[in-house]
Amino acid sequence: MPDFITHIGLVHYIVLATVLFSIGLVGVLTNRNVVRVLMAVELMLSAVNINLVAFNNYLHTNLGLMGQAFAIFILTVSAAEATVGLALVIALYRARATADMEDYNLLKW
Amino acid sequence: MDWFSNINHIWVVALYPLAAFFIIVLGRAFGREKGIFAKKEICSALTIGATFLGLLHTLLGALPWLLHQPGDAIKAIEQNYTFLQTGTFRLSVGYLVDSMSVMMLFVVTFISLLIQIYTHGYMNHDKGYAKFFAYLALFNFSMLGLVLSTNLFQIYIFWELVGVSSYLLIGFWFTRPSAAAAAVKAFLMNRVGDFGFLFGILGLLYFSFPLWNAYLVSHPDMAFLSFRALPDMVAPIAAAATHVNPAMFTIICILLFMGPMAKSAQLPLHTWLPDAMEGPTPISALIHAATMVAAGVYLIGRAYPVFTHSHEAMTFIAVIGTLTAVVAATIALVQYDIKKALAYSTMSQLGFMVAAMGIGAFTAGLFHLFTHAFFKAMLFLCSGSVIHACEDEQDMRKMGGLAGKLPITHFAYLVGTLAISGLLWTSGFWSKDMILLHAKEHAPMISLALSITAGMTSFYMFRTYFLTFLGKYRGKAHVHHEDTAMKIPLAILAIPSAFIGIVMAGLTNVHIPGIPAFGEYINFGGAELEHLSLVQAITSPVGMTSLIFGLSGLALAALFYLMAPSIPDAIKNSPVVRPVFHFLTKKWYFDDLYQGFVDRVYLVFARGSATFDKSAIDGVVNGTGHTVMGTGYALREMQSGKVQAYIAIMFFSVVTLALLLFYWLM
Repeated sequence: MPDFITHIGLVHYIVLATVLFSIGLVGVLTNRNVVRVLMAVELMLSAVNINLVAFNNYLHTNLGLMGQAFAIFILTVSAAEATVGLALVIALYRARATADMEDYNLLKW
Repeated sequence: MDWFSNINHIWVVALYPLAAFFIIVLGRAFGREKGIFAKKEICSALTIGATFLGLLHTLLGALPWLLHQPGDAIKAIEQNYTFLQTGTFRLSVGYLVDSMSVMMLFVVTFISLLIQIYTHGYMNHDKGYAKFFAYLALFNFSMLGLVLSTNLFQIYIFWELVGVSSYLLIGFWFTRPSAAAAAVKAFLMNRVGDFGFLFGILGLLYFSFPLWNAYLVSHPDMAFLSFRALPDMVAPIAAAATHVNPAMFTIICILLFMGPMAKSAQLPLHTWLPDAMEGPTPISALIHAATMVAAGVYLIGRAYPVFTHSHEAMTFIAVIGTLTAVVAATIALVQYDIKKALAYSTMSQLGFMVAAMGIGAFTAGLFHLFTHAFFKAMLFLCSGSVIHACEDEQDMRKMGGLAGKLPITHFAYLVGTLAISGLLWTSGFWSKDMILLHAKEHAPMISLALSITAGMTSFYMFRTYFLTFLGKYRGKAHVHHEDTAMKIPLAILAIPSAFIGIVMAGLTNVHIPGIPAFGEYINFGGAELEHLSLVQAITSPVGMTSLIFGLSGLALAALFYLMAPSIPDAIKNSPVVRPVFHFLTKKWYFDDLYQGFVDRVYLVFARGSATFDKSAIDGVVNGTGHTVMGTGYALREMQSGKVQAYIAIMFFSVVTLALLLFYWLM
């Protein structure tokens, strides 16, 4: 069995995070529904969290559990951010009667 | 009475007219429409009262104070108050009472009072009567402040204040374009002189700055650039200036002299004075004949230690004064406007004074200032009376034969003409001869030029006299009678015009107890002049010369304008004289020269500057704006309103930057 199958290492986590981030990015760039864009942003945040925890675990730094602590903070903040984001989406929807990103185009030259 | 006779109260003299000015201005601005200040007589009474109080102070306080001291050891009273202080420099204002300021106080208050009374008659029907008296009060304040100044900075402040009052009064009838233009011209011409004056003051300060603090410790009553400190300070100043450049001290002196040059209408800054005759005649008498224009001579007297230290500067002053006297007299020969003729004669007499100061005749110069103030003020008042009587006619060709209609004016004008011509022991005879006497000893060329000028003076003054008062009336206007308020000042002024020379010249054995000789109190360490009898005064070489010149002027004028009026016209039209006549009528082309300079040089330069400003400077400024605008137009396309496009740009930019950073760190 190849080594990369039997042993789960840092590279696996980085690849996972990259894949997850890319999915989130594609979701943000291609989806027209605001709610979906918001969800895609959450995916990108999760990818970052995986990176933080993985680096902290594998690189044996003398930083203690700082990566994990950061991940917890980001989770908390993203929860708050999701709340605010959804509230904004509802407000937007009430104002413009649409959830399509393409229609939110008042702020331009 | 104690209030008036206390010499320490003399500074109040300047404050009375200031108070009158503010009361009139504020009273009329904020008073009720039918309140007391709406009555014009209240306003004139305030101004005249203020001047009268000033005269009382001078007569009861200053003159006795001066006369109770021996002539050679006059104690000056100087009091300074700090006006502003920066670092070690202190600018002070205060009052200085000595023989010179007492003399000027007397001249200014006495003549002002008479002229203000005259003004009541002259301006009675003018709409601006009250305003005129307010301006007169402002002028009086400025002039008295100038006279009482302790130092060069203070005198500069009041110098500008008299300039402003003069501007306001020349342009008093500002609805006439010529009056408004004359006011501006006077102001601008004086700016040129004041510019040099200020630089002269600053030059004196610059070369003596470190010395003053030590000096003022030992002389606590003085201030920076105090006049009384100048005799002590001038040597170190001159040494410091000469150390920088051998000509520096003379340059400072000449810069300082530029102030008097403009204010006392000396060549080449004189052109404003004849135009200033656009102002009401009492103003011509008070400001542009008797007091303000003499301030230049007064300043030369005040700063005399400085000037005498530079031989070149003294020569310069003497030459400028002589040239002015000659040039002005020649122009006066051809004037037909009675006020213009008097204006040029004023200029000529100021030239006499300045020349006297330049040749070192300190006493004579100031004595001529003193006597000239009386007779010239009177002559102008007479001309005002004539103009008033002839319904605002100023051309002497349309006058004549007014002696019968205006007896007092005629008498006063005759006395004034005799005085300015220096005939018959009148006041002008003594002061002019004192100058000529000094000039003969120290500067023969100047003596000759001034003697000839004296002859011309006699000619043109008798010309105006004959044209105006004798012969037949040639005008069309109905001639009015004299106003009482205008007659009294004329009659009073005739007395000093006739006699003040004989009693104060100090040249003769004639002594009236209690009245001192002028030179005993006002001198600059000069030699005593010899005493002569009345006959000797005439038969001495100088007296004889000036008598011959004066009488020939008189005779020529009588021949031309009384006996054979056809002669001047014939001479005027002869081919030899015609260009000269034209040249003199054009006032030696000074005005045209200045106009030409402005048109050909100054305006060309100004237009060039304007073009440079519009193309180069504005080009840079507008170019910057256009560049910013263009960049904005180009970049605004990015603001499409598509949120996901922004995110894409942001993502790829971050990736690009990260990669760049990565490779750069590697």
